[in-house]
Amino acid sequence: MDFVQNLSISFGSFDTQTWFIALGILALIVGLFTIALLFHWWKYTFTGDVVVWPMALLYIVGVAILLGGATFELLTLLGI
Amino acid sequence: MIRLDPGENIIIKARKHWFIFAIEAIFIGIMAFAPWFFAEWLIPFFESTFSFIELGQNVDPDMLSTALTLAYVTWLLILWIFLFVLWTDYYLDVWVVTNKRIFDIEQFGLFRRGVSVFRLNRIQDLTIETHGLIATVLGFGDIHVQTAGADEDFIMKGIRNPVRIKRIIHKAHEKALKKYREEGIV
Repeated sequence: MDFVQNLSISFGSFDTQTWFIALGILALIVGLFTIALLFHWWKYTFTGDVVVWPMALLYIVGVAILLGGATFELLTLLGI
Repeated sequence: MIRLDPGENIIIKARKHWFIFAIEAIFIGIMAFAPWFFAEWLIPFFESTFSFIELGQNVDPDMLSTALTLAYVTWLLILWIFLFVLWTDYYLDVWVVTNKRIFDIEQFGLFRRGVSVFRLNRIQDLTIETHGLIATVLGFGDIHVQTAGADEDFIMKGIRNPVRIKRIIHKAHEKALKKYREEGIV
């Protein structure tokens, strides 16, 4: 596609440290949401609501894969 | 989460039908694929918004591919979290029918929650409404409970198997009235 062939990326204004700070902020936001969700699932479900814990596991696995993927892509992008 | 009185026990917990959440999940799924369809418009937008992306310069396909994957993975991460916030909102909306009261628990996103409680003997009228073909086929609808003294009805929207829930509430209501009459409360 033309738009892909005409695109290039320069990182003049974004050094490695800035990228890691951005990734850290992303991880922090994800962490806060994770704590908030786990808190709700722990606090507001009933004893018999067993479906919530497989869902929690699914959520955590998904977050780990996606956050790990983002970190890997960033490291590749920075050539580390 | 709710405190029951001595001698009070839960008869049923009623939640919304899974279809209500499925519609929201499908929307999230569409949003996950949206960047593939709108890339041609999105990339010039990012180019004009973020100075580190420049059009018309030397192309490094590997770096481009990696950068786009990074952006896409971040987008998926946001959607993944949003999906579970929606699921929490869906799953924590529940009606708890006990042998004495009904708890109407409503979750609004994260950190906002409402709990209404009314006694079974205050129920004056129970109505169910089913709207549309899908609701009729899948068997979900709204339950309206009119209570003495309250200005507005208590409404549980999109509840699964409303006929059964109505029957259970009606039976519990009858039992509660009978008990109160025996005790001379009513």
